[in-house]
Amino acid sequence: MKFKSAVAGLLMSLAMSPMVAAEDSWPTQPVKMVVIAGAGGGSDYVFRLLSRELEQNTGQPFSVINQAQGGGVVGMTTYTQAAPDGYTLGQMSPFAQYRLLDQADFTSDSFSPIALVNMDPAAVHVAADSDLHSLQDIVDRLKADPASLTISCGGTCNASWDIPFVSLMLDEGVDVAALNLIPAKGSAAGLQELISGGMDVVLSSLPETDSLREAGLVKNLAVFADERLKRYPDVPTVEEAVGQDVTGGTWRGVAGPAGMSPELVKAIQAQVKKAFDSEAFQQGMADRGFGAVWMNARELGDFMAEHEAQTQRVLGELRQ
Amino acid sequence: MLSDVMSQLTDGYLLLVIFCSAVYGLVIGAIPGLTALMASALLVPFVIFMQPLPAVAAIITASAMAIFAGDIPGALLRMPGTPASAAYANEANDMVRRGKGAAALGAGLIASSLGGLVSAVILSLAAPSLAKIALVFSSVEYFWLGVLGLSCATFVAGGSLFKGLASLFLGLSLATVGMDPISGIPRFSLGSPNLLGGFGLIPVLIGLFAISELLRNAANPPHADALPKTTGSILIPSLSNLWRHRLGTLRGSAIGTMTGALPGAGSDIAAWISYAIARRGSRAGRRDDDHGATERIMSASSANNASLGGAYIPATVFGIPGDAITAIVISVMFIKGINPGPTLFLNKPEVIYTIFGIFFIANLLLIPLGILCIRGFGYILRLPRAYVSPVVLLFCILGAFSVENTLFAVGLIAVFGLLGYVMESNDIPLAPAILGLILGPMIEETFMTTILKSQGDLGIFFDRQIGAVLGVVTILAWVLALGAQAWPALARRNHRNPYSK
Repeated sequence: MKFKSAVAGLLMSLAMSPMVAAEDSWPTQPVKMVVIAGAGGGSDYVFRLLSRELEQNTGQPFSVINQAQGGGVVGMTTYTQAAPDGYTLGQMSPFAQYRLLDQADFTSDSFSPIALVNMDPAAVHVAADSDLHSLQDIVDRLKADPASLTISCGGTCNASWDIPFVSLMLDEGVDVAALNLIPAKGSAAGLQELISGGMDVVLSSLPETDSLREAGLVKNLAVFADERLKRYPDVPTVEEAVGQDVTGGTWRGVAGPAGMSPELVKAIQAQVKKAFDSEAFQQGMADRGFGAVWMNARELGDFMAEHEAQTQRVLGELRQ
Repeated sequence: MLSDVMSQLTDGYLLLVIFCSAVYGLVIGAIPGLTALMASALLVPFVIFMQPLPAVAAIITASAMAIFAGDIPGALLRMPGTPASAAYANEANDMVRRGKGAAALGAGLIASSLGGLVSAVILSLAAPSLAKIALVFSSVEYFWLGVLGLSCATFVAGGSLFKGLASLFLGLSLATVGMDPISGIPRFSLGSPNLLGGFGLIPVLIGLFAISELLRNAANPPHADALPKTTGSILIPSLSNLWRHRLGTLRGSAIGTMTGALPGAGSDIAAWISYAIARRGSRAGRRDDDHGATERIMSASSANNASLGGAYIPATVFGIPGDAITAIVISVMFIKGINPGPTLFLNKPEVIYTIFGIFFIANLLLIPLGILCIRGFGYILRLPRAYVSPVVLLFCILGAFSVENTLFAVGLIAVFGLLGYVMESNDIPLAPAILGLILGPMIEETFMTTILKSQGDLGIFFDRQIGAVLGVVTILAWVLALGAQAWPALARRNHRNPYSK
């Protein structure tokens, strides 16, 4: 079996050798970009923006393929199982929870990281008429009785928004296994619960609450970032609010299947960087309040390892 | 402001976009296997780089047209073009077989257009205040709404109640496949990542309705003259139908707008609820002749188009999507800098009212284009089945693949096609299974969310005002339905023994 696959691998690399030689000129054919979310969502937007720039710069079509099934597992499976030739790439986003929840077996070794282009910190929201006025209020309440508040994860739990929150509560000494964390179909559904009075706290990114904040229905208490966001100067960081330096949230990058050659990764990274730096991409991200944050392949790889460790710690504690 | 809105609406480019997307939406909707959601999703790559108003107009128009056009293959081939037409596809097809094709489709068309117009009026007059009502709904209210919707299957089950329930429970069990909506633990996924997300609604719909129909045609080829022509005038009789069924159509429009305004309940649920209410709740709708069928078709058909407009109530006021199509529109609006929210109504009223104006244009345009579409597809779909069937099959495969982007979806339509064929040949209705698949996840998720919130206390289902009202209505509906089943028997006994006391 092993021998067979080794032979197959050898044959494949032989067959692909002309392409490998042409790495400098990547891409020489159309590129598939797998997005692990539906058409029209935030992820779709970021990748269509990026693909448009890549298309213009390289002259090759970049087709965005939406595979949102299984909370992203299907999309990631598609591109991690493709040939590592640089012509099937995909969205790199939080993945460690899939393995810990027995949904898939991705580790950071399943991917060839290429670049990170976007990071949006998690934030804590309450209804405008809530008697919780600061993150400190929430911490105090949860210290006294960890199950006293209903907390919406603003999407599936054990994911981008609740992991930093739970990790803060761990640092504060709250019994996190007793927290009443409730999943929602997405941030919009979570916010609907918040406003209808069905939920005390919602965790999601800041731009997602724009309309409701303008309507005077939602208050933002804190953001899990190193410093205040330019677009939201009034929202304090977690460190300012409670003195613990905890950050986290969601992030989006470009990756390919494991086993891509370092030269190929470099060539793609250079093109992605060019697209990232373009005015259209920067402007498009700013328009929607998305954070344009750059990491190269090596930094993204380290970051993914960190993400795995944080997820493991939090999920381990939650399951006790 | 009115002149601003008018000048924006009469912009030549905007009108051209509306016209092109109208034709596009009608064609996509009328082809079995291609749905309204798909029509909108496929537009995203095009509109994402357009001007704001044409971008939004394209999706609004295409989705309104596609939801109506879904009736056409539903009536002519018994294959609903979109999930929203599934509730009454059988009924419309029966009318076509009785030679009343033009009347059935014309009734659906005029009701769709009116439903869309009514929802546009409500949208323009009362969006901000209605949105506040929609935001009062929490998981408790959605749970009751889901259960109420589920009850529709039993109320509308023609023929055997037992077989209707069997089909419903099949749909509900299929809905349990995939990740648990609360814990994310995979269920019945057999280790396949393709099953993690559960069965996609669109491939199942295509399989159950379209593929099974193709199989049946292959097994018993229909006679060449089996399908009477949809000849005769469409517009005039449908206008007189509109007058005769004005109450049903208006009721459908109101139900559709309200259902659409609730985030998470879309055009398919609106059509079901309106159909069930017409079937049980109105004198005309209870009749089993063409008059009754027309009443039911017009009620449901106006509801599914009205729900599209309704969905824009929470979408434009609070940025909360009412259904999957408005989720796409909201994201396009954000990209274009038209950030939905109450300030949009204050700061840029001309933009928001132009968007509402697009609804009026699209729904008026629906009548002439819809008639052309009915005529055109009427001819195409009456070509010999030997030519039509392979093309339909091709589009079914294409539709399933393009919604899910996996080959697995193509396999699914084959499996469900076979299942649908077996079910139909045993007189088990297909529609309740689709209803179960639509509502199962909603009921499970809202039930679990509610129970988690209250930490196991069932009293929460009656704690909130609106929730309690909805709960009581649901329970009453069941009591009345069971009572109606039991009443004839009781009445007979009393009649036999009038003076038994």
